[in-house]
Amino acid sequence: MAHSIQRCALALGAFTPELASKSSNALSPPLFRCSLLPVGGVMPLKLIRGSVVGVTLSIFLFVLSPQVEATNRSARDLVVVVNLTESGRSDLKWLYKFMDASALSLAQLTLGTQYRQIHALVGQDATSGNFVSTLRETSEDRALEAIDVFLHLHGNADGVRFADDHIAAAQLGDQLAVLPERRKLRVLYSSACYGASHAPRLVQDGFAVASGAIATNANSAFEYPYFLAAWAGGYTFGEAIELGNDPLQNRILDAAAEWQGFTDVNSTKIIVGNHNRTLEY
Amino acid sequence: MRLRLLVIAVPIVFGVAISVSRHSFEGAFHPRDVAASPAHIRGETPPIAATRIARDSPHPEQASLLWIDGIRKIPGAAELLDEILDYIKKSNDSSFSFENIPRGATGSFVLNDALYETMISDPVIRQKWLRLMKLIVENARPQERD
Repeated sequence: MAHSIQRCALALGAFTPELASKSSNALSPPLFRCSLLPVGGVMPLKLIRGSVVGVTLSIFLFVLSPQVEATNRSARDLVVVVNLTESGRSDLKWLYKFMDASALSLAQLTLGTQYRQIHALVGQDATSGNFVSTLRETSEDRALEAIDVFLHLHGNADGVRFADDHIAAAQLGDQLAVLPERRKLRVLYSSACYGASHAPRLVQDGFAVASGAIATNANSAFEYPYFLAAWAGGYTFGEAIELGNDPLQNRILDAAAEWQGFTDVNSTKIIVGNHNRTLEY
Repeated sequence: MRLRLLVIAVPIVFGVAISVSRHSFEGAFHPRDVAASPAHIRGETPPIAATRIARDSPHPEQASLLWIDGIRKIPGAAELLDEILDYIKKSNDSSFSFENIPRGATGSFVLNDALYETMISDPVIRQKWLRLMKLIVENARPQERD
């Protein structure tokens, strides 16, 4: 009991000769029988120096620890990249027009009031160069603390197809890694096929969290609106993705895709990184 | 000597404790055990077999058709969808397009409510478009967060 009191007192920095004398007994180890303060209350220089070093280290650790501060609407932007049209067949242009427009409209309707601005990169302008430039420009905006990205691109196991070229996830990661304010890159939602194989590299080189489909992604019509609504409603990124990962819907939509000739369908989304991020944090 | 080490160690322990607690707020130590989470949330690498098959996958346009099929399944959406798709097929390029929207230096533009007037010239189709999009959003709305 006496030892416990001494330990508590020491931990609280309140260990004084008076307290020591109250709590010590004959069985106390030498450490606890000695007084921390010499007679007269003058602290030895070495002790002061030790304390200063310790406190400095503590402050250093505190400053270096990851900070997650609330971001209000005026401090976060969303970048939506849509390029389903440019790589498609000309006779199906109507389809891609609809796809591109709906991807943007749904984001705007659901999240228009949740971000300061939603930047759209569409069609021929959805190049990898423009994408990185947009991220650079927005992240260097001093008013902003967080940049989220939604990618609606075709993809394969290596990377994604922008308007100008197919770019490997590693190559894209290299370009993100040199952005001076990449710490502001927060959430990357991708509807690209094989997005799960791109996510680790994009998290390693910038984003706090990213998601993507394991193989061919066939459930966007269901999953994307669910994700948007949940994300806007304050759910964590993990929860929002999970809502779209509805097993029944996935089975139906994946089966429909297989019926159409896909041999590698798996719309289930994988999350890499901190899945607890929310719109506010 | 032990005392000096103690004096240095205690603030360091406090510093580490603060760092860890701040980190846990961020969610690195989620209350739910990650190992108990579904496989896809653990960030497992996709199977190699799947990535190999990808090269033989059908053209991307078929993946886009899946999106349309999914929307058609939403109650009340099929009719609106068909009308809109019919309009897009029959109209000229500028009647349903983002091309008229001015771009910034990085090729991007900012989304806002005025977007639809620029994008869809026919006011009837514009209304139907908004109704369809709202239908999709309403269909996906999760329960209110406590």
